Amino acid sequence: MGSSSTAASPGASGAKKGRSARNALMAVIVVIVIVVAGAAYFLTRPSGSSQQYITVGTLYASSGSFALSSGYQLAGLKLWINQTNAQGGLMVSSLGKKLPLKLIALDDQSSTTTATTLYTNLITQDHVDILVADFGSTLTAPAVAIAQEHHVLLFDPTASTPGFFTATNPYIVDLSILVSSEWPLVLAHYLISQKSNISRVAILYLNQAFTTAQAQTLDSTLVSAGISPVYYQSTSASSAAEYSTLLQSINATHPQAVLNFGYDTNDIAFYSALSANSMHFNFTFTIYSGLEYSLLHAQTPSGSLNYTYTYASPPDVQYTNVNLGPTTAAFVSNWTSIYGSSPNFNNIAGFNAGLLIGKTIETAGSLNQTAMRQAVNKLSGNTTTLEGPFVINTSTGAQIGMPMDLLQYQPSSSGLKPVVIYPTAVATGTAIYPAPAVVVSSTPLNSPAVVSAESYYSISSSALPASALCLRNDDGIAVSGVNRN
Amino acid sequence: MNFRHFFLKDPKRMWPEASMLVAPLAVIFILGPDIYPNQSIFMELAVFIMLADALNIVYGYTGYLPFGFGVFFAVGAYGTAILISHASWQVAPAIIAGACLAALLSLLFTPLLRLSGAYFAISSLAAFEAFYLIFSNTQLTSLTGGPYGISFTQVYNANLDYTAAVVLAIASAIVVLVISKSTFGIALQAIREDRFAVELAGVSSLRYRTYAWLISSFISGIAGGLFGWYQGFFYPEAVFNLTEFSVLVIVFVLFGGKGTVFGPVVGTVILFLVYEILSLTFSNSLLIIFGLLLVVLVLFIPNGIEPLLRKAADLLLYPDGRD
Repeated sequence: MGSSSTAASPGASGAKKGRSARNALMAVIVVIVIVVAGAAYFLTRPSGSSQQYITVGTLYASSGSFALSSGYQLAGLKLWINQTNAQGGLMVSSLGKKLPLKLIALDDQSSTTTATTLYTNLITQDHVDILVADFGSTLTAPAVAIAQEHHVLLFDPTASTPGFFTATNPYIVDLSILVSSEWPLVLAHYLISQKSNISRVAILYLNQAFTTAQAQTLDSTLVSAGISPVYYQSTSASSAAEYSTLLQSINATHPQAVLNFGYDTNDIAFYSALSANSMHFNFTFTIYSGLEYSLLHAQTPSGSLNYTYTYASPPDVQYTNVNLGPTTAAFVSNWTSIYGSSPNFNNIAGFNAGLLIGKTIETAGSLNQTAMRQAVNKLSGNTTTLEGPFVINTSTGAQIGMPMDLLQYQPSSSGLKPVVIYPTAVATGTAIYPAPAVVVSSTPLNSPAVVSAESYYSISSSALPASALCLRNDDGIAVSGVNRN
Repeated sequence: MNFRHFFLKDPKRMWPEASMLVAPLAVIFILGPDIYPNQSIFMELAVFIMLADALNIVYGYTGYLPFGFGVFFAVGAYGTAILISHASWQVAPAIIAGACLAALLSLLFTPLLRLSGAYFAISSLAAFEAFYLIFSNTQLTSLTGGPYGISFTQVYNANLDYTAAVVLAIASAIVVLVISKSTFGIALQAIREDRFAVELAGVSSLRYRTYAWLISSFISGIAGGLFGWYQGFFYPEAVFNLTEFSVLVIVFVLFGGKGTVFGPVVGTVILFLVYEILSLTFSNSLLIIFGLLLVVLVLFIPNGIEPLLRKAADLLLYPDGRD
């Protein structure tokens, strides 16, 4: 008994020592955590000094599916910041001085989860004065609720999902892009007007909100006019091989018009597949051949864009009579002299967002988020920029100006020429239909279509088919859509 | 069956480990947002801890790696969103119901459990893709929002969501601890080591794996519901995100140490925070640095860091070695 007692004692003592050592280790860990936490808190707390900058916070994607377009948008915004700083910054009347702009751009890598963290970081950690969304609806979506929660106005350059814009959320405003469900209305009414020539329509669309909204608007508008698409299919395709398979199916329906709604990478794959399969359609439409012409021109087989159709938007459409910032032509010239290549639509959208932000701050006279929202409403309807008339639904913040008309790329002796073909009141030429099958090597754009802002304001409803009356209100400004009330 | 014994073989022995799990997590989640005022980071950390624990139950304890594991997360998010936006449910019952939907879905997938190895991994991946296409289909726009996404911002409450996520993340870690100490957990580990030997002993390995599969999918569904609530509006690709809610979670679990109680939690905390720090400081080279880091970790710490931490703790506490 005694021996066993003696033998047990060292064991019990060892276990006790072990427990106390473990407790001591835990206590040390907790103390270290608290000390580090305290130090970090004091190191990272705001200094409380007077405002020396206007901080502009935004996200961009250096990788992933939105990298190209996101980079274009950021480049446009950066140019506006550089030019504004070169002029001494922006006047903030409540502070009685001009403040330079400081850009904080964080990389979300096209990930919505990362974007959620980074948007929060811009608001709660960097305390940005101006919050600008990343490119497109997918990467803007995480910011909508966060901005509203923190009562920060989200300046949205290129997200056009109607669901973002509600009367209950005053903390978002769409600066540079028409809501996506409105985009194909002019296109649809052109096809309806050509019903005798184009009755077999094939619609292929990427299964994303931006592209699906357009396909559905087009489909429903055509069906209501008695044109039932012979092919109507969503896809997640991204490679030329996948598009080849889809094009074989489309070709089997003998369409007169093929409309592909995708992003830039999809359109490149689409045209590559067309070329690889030696296919030709009388009427071919894609979104990004207009929005990012240089990229599409460089990345698609030679001649691919000849006689194709796209949305007419800057820089192909140039606004001459602007009252905020440079004209489209002046901007294109300036951009080309700086970067050595022409800007695309997303470059312009980024720059245009900056222009409107600057005007908003000057109009508000402060960096108060509510005051800025009210200032944006004041700009609506009486501001025209290089991107066209800026008109928002003042209760929801959705963009209803900046129309998307229809354009065809027509080869000419001096290269591919963008010709606005519809609506007739703003047309700069007529469509060549059916598209000739001869492949001519396309060259860089020349002679952009010049459109004055007045033509949009003064266009008469009677210039459009009766079924297209929903497009414009009495002032000739595009107003139809989910959020027009 | 004695369920108490089934789940709690020796409850008293759990307390020290439970406190070692709860205390550091509580410190991180309570002090974290004050130290670095970005609640989203800590919210996502809580969600990833839940996912890592859920994956650990099915992968760590049974050895079955479902590559399409994120489908349960997505179904939980959609279940919650649909019940709130269409049926005006309260948030808490909607999240629970969303998780139950995820668990029901896992029951649908139980035939997959008859497969093993790469076949099981690939078939779960196919299931993930199939459900992504179903939820994003335009034909279901009125129910799921289709490609337009689904919004339920009317119940958005970031602080309440965060509190719930923290409590449930800690709870999920405790669930793993309970399983590890139970007869059930021992049975799962036995199945992982030698399924045929277990079946020869008269134990239905399929039934045990189904239980693990159910618990795992339920926890994932809860995580999805909480994540969706925090987003307020999400597109299909935001929750059906294979890279983040399947692959990244697998990496976290492997890094921490699969089949252990602390490993997935420690692995998630370290790697997720490293990922976030890199994305805030070296965003341009984040993927390169993170990728290299993972290569190094897999090469030099193939069993995860949990065994290393235990060894370090032993050396610290028992410099002369254990008796």
